[in-house]
Amino acid sequence: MTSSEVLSERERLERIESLTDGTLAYLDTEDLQVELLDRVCEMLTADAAMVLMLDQSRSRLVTRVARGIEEALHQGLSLPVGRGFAGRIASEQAPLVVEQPDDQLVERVLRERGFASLMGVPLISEGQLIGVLIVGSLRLQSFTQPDVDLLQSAGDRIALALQAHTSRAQLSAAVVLQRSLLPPHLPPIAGLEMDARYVPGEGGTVGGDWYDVFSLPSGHVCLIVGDVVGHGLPAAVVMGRLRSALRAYALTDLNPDKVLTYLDRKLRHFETSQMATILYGVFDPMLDKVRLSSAGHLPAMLTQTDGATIEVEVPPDPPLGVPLQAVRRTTVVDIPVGSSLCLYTDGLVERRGAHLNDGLALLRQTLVPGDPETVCTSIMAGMVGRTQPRDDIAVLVVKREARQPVKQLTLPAEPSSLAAIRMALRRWLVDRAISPTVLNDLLVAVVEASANCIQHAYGAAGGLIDLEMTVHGDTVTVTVRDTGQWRQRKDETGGWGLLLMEQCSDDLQIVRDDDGTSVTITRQMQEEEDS
Amino acid sequence: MTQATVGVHEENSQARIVLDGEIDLANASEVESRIHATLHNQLTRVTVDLSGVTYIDSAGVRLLVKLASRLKVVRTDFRIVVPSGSGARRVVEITGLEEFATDSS
Repeated sequence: MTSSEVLSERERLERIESLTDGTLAYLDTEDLQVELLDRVCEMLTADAAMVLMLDQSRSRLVTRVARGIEEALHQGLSLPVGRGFAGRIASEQAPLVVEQPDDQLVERVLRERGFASLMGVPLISEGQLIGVLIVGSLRLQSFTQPDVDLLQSAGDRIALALQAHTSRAQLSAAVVLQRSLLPPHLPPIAGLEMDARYVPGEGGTVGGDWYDVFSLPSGHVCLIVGDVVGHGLPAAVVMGRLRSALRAYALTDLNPDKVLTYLDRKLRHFETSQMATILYGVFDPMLDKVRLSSAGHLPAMLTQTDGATIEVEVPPDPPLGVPLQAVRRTTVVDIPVGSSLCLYTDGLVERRGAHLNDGLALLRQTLVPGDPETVCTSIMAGMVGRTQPRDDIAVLVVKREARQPVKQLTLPAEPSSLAAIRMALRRWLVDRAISPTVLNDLLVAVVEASANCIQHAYGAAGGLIDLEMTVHGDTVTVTVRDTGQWRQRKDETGGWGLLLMEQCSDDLQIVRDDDGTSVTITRQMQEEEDS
Repeated sequence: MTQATVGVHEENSQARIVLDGEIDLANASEVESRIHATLHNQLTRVTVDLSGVTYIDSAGVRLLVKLASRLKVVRTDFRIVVPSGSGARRVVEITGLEEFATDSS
């Protein structure tokens, strides 16, 4: 439109209006940029315009939107900062105008289009370069200072929109990631009760805190609370990777110190300059002991059945990701039935202007015996109350079930449930006065009854097995129920199952009716002294 | 999931199959095929060592019985090593496999 140095007042107003038009507010970031580029091209009588954004490494400019030179987008045009036309605008963070550019200056894509005049401005947001906006004209024209000003105004508008878009996108991506990695329901594990809480920090920013609980095929149970230093999407991404890597290492090594050593090596090699603290524990299959290793993490709390809460003394080794060749250690801690462990991140106990020891003392007072859900609720009420936590908080409470006279269990009628049934029975009876022979007999009788149910009660659709285990005085009774229609086995390969059930129980009752089958096994916990 | 390992040691046409872990309906057929894969026609004796088995029931018995009958047909000696007083020994005794059982090899 212009090549004169002086614009009329009317022209100037028209230009401003064109870039601040209220209808632009309703466009999303992508459409807004397209619309602004088109308007800028029209006002400057240019043929092409594009937005290039600085990438994560801050060393390259990547095409984000292109008008009139769409191939830049399709080819994924990426230009180094410091070289070429766009690169110079980025490194100098100043507008640049060139006419009849020589080959050295102009990037190949621009050269092939044969632009005679080029003009570009930096996109700056919160004092930081985030990209470059350039326009090109095939016809030789002299861009003037008012033209540069116009382009810069458009650039400022785009920078603002891009910045808002990026922070919104990062915030929601971090929240989605965090939620997907912290499932609301912890896995049911026989013999343990547990609950957990996660709350984001100030302004709803998620960070790198996480908790995790899982069983291993061996029956060991792993529990983790960790904290990746930093906030937002980058911390959440590293957290996700650490969580997966830890699960993988846990499958191959039962020693917490070894697993943390591998994890440290992985972090230092692949995520340099990231740091994390972790408290990692592995319960023995019978759940009576937990082996703990700490990578610079705050101590777990053990709430005993008498009501007292103590700090679990685990000498902390260095955090993961620091350049120290640490020899990591494992501490074995007894976990009596009915007691519970609380693992947490620093956000729970650190308060502005307060000493860490005061936070830890308050947590000790807050922790009282109870079911983990109640305990978690009272921890959050007592420690956070009505103040918005500055940092994000993860809390995990795992309680070893108190001795229970009656225990119920429902599992899918599948062969893979048999190992879980044995584990549940063993854990339930672990601190009872039961002889090893009787325990083995009970396991055999109950698993045989369950295996029968798995093979004969349901068709291809499958179903459930219900177990009810009761201790009354010196007698254990286990009832195995299904709700299926019994089907005679197709190949009769010996009656060992029934034989074993009979021989391994003091009394065996099998009731079959229209509602299904129930097998009741009764057994004294001590052997008769008649041998 | 039920887990077991199958180890095989062969010397002078005698195979020693060492089972460890648990055997039930969930893994019996897998254990069985792993045992079968180790058996060949030159063997004069097969010993199944249950010393490291922490749980076994009728599913394991079934595979041992099938193995015993097959080896009888091909006139190969069969032994089960199973320590006295163990849970596996009790199951072996109840199911009538005691004639093959020894405390140790």
